[in-house]
Amino acid sequence: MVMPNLLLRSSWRFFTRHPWQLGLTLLSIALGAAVMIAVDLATHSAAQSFQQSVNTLASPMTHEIKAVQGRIPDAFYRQLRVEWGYRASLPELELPLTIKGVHYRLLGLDPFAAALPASSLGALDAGVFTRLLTEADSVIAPTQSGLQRGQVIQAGERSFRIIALADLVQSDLLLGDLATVQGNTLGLSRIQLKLTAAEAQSLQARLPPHLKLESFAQQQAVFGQMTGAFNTNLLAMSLLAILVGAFLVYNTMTFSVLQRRQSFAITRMLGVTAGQLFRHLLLEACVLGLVGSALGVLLGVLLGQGLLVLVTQTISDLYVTVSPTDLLITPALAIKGSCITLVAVLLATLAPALEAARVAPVQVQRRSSLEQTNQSLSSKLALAGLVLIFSSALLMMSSGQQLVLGFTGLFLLIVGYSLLIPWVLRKLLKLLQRLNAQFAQAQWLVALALRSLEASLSRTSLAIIALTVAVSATIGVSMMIGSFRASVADWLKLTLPSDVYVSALSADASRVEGSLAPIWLERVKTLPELASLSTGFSTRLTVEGMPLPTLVLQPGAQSQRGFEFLQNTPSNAWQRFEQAEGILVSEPFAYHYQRAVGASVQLATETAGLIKLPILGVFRDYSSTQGMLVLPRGLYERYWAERGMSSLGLTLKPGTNPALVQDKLKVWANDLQSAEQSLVIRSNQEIRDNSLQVFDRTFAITHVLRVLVLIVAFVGVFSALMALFLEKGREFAILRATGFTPKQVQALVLGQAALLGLLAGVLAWPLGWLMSVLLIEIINQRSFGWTMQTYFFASIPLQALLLAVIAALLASLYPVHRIGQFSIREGLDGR
Amino acid sequence: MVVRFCLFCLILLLAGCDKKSESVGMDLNLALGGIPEAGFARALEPRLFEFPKEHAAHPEFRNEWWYVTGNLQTEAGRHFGYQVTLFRIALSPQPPDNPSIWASNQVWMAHIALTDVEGHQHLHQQRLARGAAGLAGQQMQPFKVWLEDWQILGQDNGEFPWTVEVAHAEFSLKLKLQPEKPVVLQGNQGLSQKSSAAGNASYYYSFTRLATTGLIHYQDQDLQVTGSSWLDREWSTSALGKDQAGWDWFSLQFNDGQELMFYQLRKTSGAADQAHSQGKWVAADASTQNLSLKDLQLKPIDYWQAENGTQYPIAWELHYPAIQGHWRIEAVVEDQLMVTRVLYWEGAVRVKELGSGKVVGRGYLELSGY
Repeated sequence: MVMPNLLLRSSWRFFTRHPWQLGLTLLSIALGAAVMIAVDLATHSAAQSFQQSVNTLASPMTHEIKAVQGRIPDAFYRQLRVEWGYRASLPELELPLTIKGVHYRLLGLDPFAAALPASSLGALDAGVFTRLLTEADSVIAPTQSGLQRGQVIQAGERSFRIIALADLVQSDLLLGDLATVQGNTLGLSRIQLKLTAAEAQSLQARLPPHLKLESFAQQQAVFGQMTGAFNTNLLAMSLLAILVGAFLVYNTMTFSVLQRRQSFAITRMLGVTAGQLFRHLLLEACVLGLVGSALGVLLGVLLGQGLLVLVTQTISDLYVTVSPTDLLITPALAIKGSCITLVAVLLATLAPALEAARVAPVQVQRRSSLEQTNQSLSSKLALAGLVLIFSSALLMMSSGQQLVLGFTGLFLLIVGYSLLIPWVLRKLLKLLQRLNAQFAQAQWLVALALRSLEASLSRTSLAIIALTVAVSATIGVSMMIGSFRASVADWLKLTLPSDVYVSALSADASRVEGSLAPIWLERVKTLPELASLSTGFSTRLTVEGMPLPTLVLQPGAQSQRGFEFLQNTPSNAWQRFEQAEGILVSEPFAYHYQRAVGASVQLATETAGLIKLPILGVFRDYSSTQGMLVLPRGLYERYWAERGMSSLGLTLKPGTNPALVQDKLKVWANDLQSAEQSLVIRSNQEIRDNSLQVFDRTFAITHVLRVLVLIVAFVGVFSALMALFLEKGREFAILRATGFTPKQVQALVLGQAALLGLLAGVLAWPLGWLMSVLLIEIINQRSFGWTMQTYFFASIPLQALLLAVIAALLASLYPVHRIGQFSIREGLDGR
Repeated sequence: MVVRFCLFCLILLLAGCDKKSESVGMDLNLALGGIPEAGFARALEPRLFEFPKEHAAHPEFRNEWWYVTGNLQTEAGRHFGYQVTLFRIALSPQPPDNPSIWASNQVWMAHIALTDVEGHQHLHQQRLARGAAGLAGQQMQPFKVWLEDWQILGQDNGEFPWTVEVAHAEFSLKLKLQPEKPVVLQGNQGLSQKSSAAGNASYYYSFTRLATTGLIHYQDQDLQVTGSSWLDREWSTSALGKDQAGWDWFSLQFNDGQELMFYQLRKTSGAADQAHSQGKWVAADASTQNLSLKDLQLKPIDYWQAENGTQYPIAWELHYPAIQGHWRIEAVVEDQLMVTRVLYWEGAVRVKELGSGKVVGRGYLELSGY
């Protein structure tokens, strides 16, 4: 065991003598791992939070009955439980509460109906339990909610009193007796049931049409389906961080092998075999990978807390309301992240380790051979890169609607393009040297800089690749988001044709799903400023077995302007819609369900069971990724009993100031609307601004991830360049010895760094552009089902270029500072 | 049958000492047992009983039950015992000030059991429900006490005949009950003192012999049965004293048309409570005689051990010297333990004449506080 010991000690000495290099290597591994683990933890926690909101009490229930519209009539519970004999049933009523701006839910249940897990009610003492049952306003709050015992909570006209705190399953869930929560209202939110598949089937068959039965598994599946694309997008961003990290590890390992060529040559001469050396280098990578990913897990948990806020916010904005939750730290996810990181690190080390082991001891002494191998290698790599790019194009074209394959194609493109970079760099540097020779009157300092860079390409090209990939991701993602935002802004201009909207908000206040008092209609019609009026009722209907947002529209004169029809929608679509002959569907619906104009859609109705309605037209819509339906009111009222409306669209006579009308409406709101129903009165401009705010909020997480990828790349470039310049100490000493001033050497280093950054930035342009095209045309459509216009923003590539140059310059600052202080003699000695 | 009340409260409280239960049941037990007495009516003095009005609930008292037990047989002579009990528990003296149809201060609990003597089986079930939203309650027009679909039905105003209807996955009962003897007011004109403190008493009346016919659905068979049942009605707010641990309660129907109700209260020391243990002898002509431990000798002679190690005295010797009665009372099936939220042994017994060994009667035995 003498030889491995020797190797171990040599590694130890190397890394302890280069702490910067060690630290930065670990940091880039840790950051890559952290981003992936954080994304994984955040998306899983969000899913967990949803699961809890489905099965609020973590009870052994499997299904729930809900009303298609509104609440379940109270009497139905007795029928279900006593007459039909479904005794494993639990009636619940849930109210939303807002306490000092924080959202809570108050859940009322019948504790006698089913055995509940002790954890769901906490350890209540008998007195509290009795009070919950016998006092008209007593509720309990979770200990971790921050609410106080004795606190009185206002919910509209009603108030509740917190009589005790208990360890409840969720921090935003208050509990009370069903009667307490119901008070003077009527009906139940849901009835949870424990059913076998056969029982569920027979219950389904006898359920009246205004009620629906859903299994928790099914709801979970719908959630998974809805958020799947979103999660895949996040995963892809986090894998990009790992990819960039892997490039950097490859770079670092290659570099460290190069730096240690002499010591490796000596150990080989002392009898260490090639195999031993190879295994040793892998072991070294393993240790670095382990330590790096351990740091990554810690960082990932910290980062995950932040990401979780963004993820739940986005899911709530885009899909369903998910309560904010604590980060669920799952060891399995941390292990998975660490394993992926470790594999990436080992793969990245494979090539340099093989290289170091293969070279004969004498050869190792000469670097030129390595540079030469690299030269011939770069052409081979370029060829492989072209093959990858070609297969990426093939994969994209042949993979239909598959999102994961779309991303695979995108990654193939990135890797393929990366493989081209060393060859392109070589050619570019040659070209620059020639240009310098011909046109710049042979600036010798420039020539020196270029030659020196070219000579060290084996060590710099990987840093450049990493920077290129990170910067191109910035370009691609920014272009995509920019185009998306511009398309949404265009669409918003079109889709809100009325001047002023009165909307009743649903309980969670983020959706227009409440109901307006019918008297609104009469009152608004008396407005002298009114030119035309439309009414809408937003609801969720069961479409093709899935709950889908639906707008029931009583169109006004201007309503047609609100729709941009797509996909061969015939010109008479609107007339047919006004005559209630069929429905309109959004583009994502048409994409996900593969339905074109003329096809039919199955809906579960209240009065006639399942029916099929024809699609009259497909319209552009960015409001729901699942897709949405628009039903003419005439058609809706034929099959559903509900006659409510949730929004009014007022078109005003020309020359009217919308703000004045809004003020008048706000005064009316005070006496027309009950306190429990929140209401907003907004101009179309306000809704547009608000929607774009939501849009920006949804992409906050993408921005954050993009910055994280950049940070990983920056750390890598920083470590590569710094190590490179520090290593060039001897070269600089020779320059100084031949008469260079410290300032000149510093200028040389800064120039080289700027050039590196510039090259990376310019190389990032084509890749960034390609990525933006793929993201817009393929990834977005496959994720969300919508198409958009591609816009070009000149500022984005320029910013990217600047970013690359600044990153490279920053990385060279420390070496430049060192050069100012160092002694020629020590440099010549190679110290 | 005051005992039943004691059983209820005491065991509810005792259940709280069990190992931590997985379900919320434990908390329910505590809640149902720990209701303060203040504000409820108390049984302080004898009252005027008016029938059939008294069959209705008395919600101003904290606890109340309709307790039916009986012994039945098929034409072929197959013997079954059964128990159907509906308990009402008021959580507070006043209903909550809440218009919700779910609001109620009343909680209902029901226990049902069937003993198959031949098959050596004892099946039992429990249900709980709030007295609201039509889930459980009591009404007079027509008479009905119910918890979900377990119910005792009668005629308008509570007139007999009554029907007991309960169904469960393992068995169901549909039995018609018709009194063969007038009502018996237990204790002192229906006031049954349970311990020395004033108000530690219940109002208690019984129908000691109800001719019973009907159907038992059991093991996929519809069995036509006839036999005799016993109804106890009792309501109170408090009963047992601190030094009382439990009781042994007997309801016996002799083949010669006489009945005996007797409960022996046991002190925490294990000794019988001489002062408060009492009963009533009902002769064939329905005349009654009050009994205390001075009139009877009661001695456990055989035990059955439950899984948790508790010994239940399931065979007794009873001597009633005044009428030269010497009997052995023994369980028809050893294990008739009611494993419900409250743990007690309640089961069918047969009465044998000591010496001859001749079966001279049947009845029910309840053992609690063990």
